[in-house]
Amino acid sequence: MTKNLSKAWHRFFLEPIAPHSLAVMRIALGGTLIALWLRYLPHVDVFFSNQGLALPYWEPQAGSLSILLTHPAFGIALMLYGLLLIASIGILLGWHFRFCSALAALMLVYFGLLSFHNFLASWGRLLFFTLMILGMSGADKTYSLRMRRKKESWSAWEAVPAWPQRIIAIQITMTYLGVGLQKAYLPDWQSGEILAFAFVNGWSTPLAHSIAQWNLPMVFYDSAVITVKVLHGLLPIGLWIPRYQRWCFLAGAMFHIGVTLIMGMWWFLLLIPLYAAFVDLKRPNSCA
Amino acid sequence: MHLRKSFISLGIGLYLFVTANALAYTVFRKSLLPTPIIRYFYGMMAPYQGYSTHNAELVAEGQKTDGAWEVIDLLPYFPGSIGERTFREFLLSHRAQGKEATRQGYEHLIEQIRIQEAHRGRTYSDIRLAFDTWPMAPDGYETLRLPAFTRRIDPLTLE
Repeated sequence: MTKNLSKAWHRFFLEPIAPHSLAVMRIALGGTLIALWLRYLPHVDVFFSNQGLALPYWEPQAGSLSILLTHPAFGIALMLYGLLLIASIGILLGWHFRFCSALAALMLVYFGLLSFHNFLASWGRLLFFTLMILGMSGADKTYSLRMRRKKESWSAWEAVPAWPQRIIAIQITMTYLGVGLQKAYLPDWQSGEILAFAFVNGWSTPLAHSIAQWNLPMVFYDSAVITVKVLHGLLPIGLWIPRYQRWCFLAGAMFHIGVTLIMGMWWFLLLIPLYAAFVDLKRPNSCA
Repeated sequence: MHLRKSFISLGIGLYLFVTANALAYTVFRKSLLPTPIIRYFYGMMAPYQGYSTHNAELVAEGQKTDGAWEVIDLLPYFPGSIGERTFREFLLSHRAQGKEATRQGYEHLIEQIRIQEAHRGRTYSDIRLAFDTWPMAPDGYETLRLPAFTRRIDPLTLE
């Protein structure tokens, strides 16, 4: 029994796999980081320099390392912000990937303590977690500048250990499972009212406000909430079963696109390419 | 090689243990591990948990030398979408640490507003903060932000 468990553990987590799914996730993560970088670029002065409301997570103490959390002059803030862009491009292209991942993580922690701590939601945690795991994964072993230089082909590849891909898949599963379980019992999720108000709150897009003005019956919102709960119940199982995967990918993608269209939370779209974690695209013994 | 694989297995086991605890906390509000350890992992499975029927916006007023109060435009200090702006105005990372941390957070915010406004040539002897709340409406975010529907509440107690 123990031997069988040990074998299964080894096969699932430690055996080498092809890096293509990880590469897809790496490219999506790099793209998301660049999009976020562009989003905050016009506001570097306000959020990360001494020209805005400097509210770091810890009050900087003179003579201690926390002094590093003093908001710098605008020029320095812009230079530090530029490092995040370089790291994000490196991740996207698979160029000095480990170094760029570490640099991006460091800069995100820095900007997080400086300003993002007041806007840290589940998506930000997922983004950082994915960055940390992918950074250790060898996700640059195909579709990357590294392989272009090493083997003169973007699509050349080398096998990587399975555990980073498995951990991202497990995390996505746990996220949907946890979210689904909470939605099942939280009092505010027992009717469609929560969704109706999501169409008219501060996050709502102009499209959401327009739909709200159609004055749809409550049964519409009630049904949509039940559908979301069922989806959150099915995804943690269906994403792992090859036969149902494409339908789960489609349903999950529609859900996240819906959230983007109604609430403008486009950053959750990153989860769609992360579904690649559930797919082993090629077998290691067919190495290019 | 064997040592490396053992080390990786230990890391995976640790991750699974912490994540399982976070899931248990999600469902039962109980965990074998202290809350600070699992908070990050719980945060990755925390949905949009509740809703309000009212919008809220932080309002700052500064007292001029003649004693009169005037509204300070906070929009340049909280750029971005309305949702993100509101999120930041509630100082949620301070609020999560308790009432005292929240109070200190808003005191710090007042001091920062005073400094930045002084740089822009507007000096105030005193600054006060409050939240304006008003009912949501399908026709637009600000539609019901009218005197009859708007209530001013304390940023600490939200009452």
